[in-house]
Amino acid sequence: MPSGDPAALRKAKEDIFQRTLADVGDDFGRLICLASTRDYNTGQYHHAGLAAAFSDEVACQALAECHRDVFDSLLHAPMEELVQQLENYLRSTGASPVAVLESWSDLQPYRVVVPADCEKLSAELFFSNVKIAVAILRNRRARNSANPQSAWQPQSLGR
Amino acid sequence: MTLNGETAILHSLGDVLPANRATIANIFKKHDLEFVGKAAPELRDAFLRERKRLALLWILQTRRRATRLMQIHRMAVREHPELQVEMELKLAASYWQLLCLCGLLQLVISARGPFETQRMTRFVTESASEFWAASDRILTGLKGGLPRREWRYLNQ
Repeated sequence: MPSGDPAALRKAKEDIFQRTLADVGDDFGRLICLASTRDYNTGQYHHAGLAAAFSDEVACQALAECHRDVFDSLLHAPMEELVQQLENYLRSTGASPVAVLESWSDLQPYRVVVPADCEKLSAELFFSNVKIAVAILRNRRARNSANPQSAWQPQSLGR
Repeated sequence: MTLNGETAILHSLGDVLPANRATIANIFKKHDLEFVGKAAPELRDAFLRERKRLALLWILQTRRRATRLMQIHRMAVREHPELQVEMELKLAASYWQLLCLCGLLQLVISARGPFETQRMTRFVTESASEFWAASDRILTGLKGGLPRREWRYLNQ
C-alpha cells in the first residue's frame, strides 16, 4: 500500500537503519531482523516505536522497502561475502554453531525471510546461495573439528 | 464465476515480465564457482548442480512467460481495428526466435553446465528484452486495447 507522504517514508527508512538496525553488523542480520517484523499471517510489517513516531501505514511500508533493499543487496553479494555474513550471524545468535548449522540445513528457516513480492527466480537463487553457504560452514566446521585449535577462528576463504 | 476473455487473462497475469537481469547475471557468475572451488572443493559439484538447476529454471520461466505474453498479446490485438500486420509478424518472428534460442541454450547448459554459456546467455537475455519491448510498443500504441499499465500494475 503506497504511502501518501514520501518525506515521512524516507525519514522512517532512515530511522530504521539508524536506530532499529544500528547494532546489527551486516545485511544478513538486518534481513533476519526485518523479516521478523512481518506478521506471517497477514504479511504486514509491525514496529511499535516506528508506528508511534510516524504511522502504522508509513512504518509498514518503510519496513517493507528496507526489507526489499537489504534482500537485494544480499542477493547480489558474492558468495564469499554471504558466507562471511552468515558466519557472523551464527556467532551473534549465541547458540551452538553446530546446532544452528544443523537446524539451518534441515529446516531451512531462511525460506521465510524472503520479501513477499520477491520474484521466484531471485528467491530460488537466494535459497540456493544460503544452502551452499551453510554447507561451506558445516564443511569448514567438520574440518576444524579435526584441528580444534582453529575451530571458529576467522579464516581466509581462499583468497 | 465465469470470466470473459480479457478479464480471465488479467486474472492470470501473476508473472509475465522477464526475470531480473542482475539475478540472471548472478546465476552465471564464475567468481562464485571459483570461490566455492577454493573454500570447499568437496562442494564444487553440488554448487554446479545448483547453478545448473537455476539456469534451467530461468530458461523454463522465460519460455513460459513469453508464451503467456504472446497469448495476452493475441487476445488484445486480434480484433483491434489498428492491428498492424507487419509489426505482428515481426513480433511473432521474435517470439519464435526466442523459443528456439531457449531450446538451444537448454541443450547446451544440460550438456556443458551454465558457466560455459555466457555469450549465449547474454544473447538470449537480449532477445527476451527485445521481444518484451516489441510487444510493449504495440500494446502501448493501441487505443482501447488491453491497457498495458494495468497488467504492469498487477506485477508490482
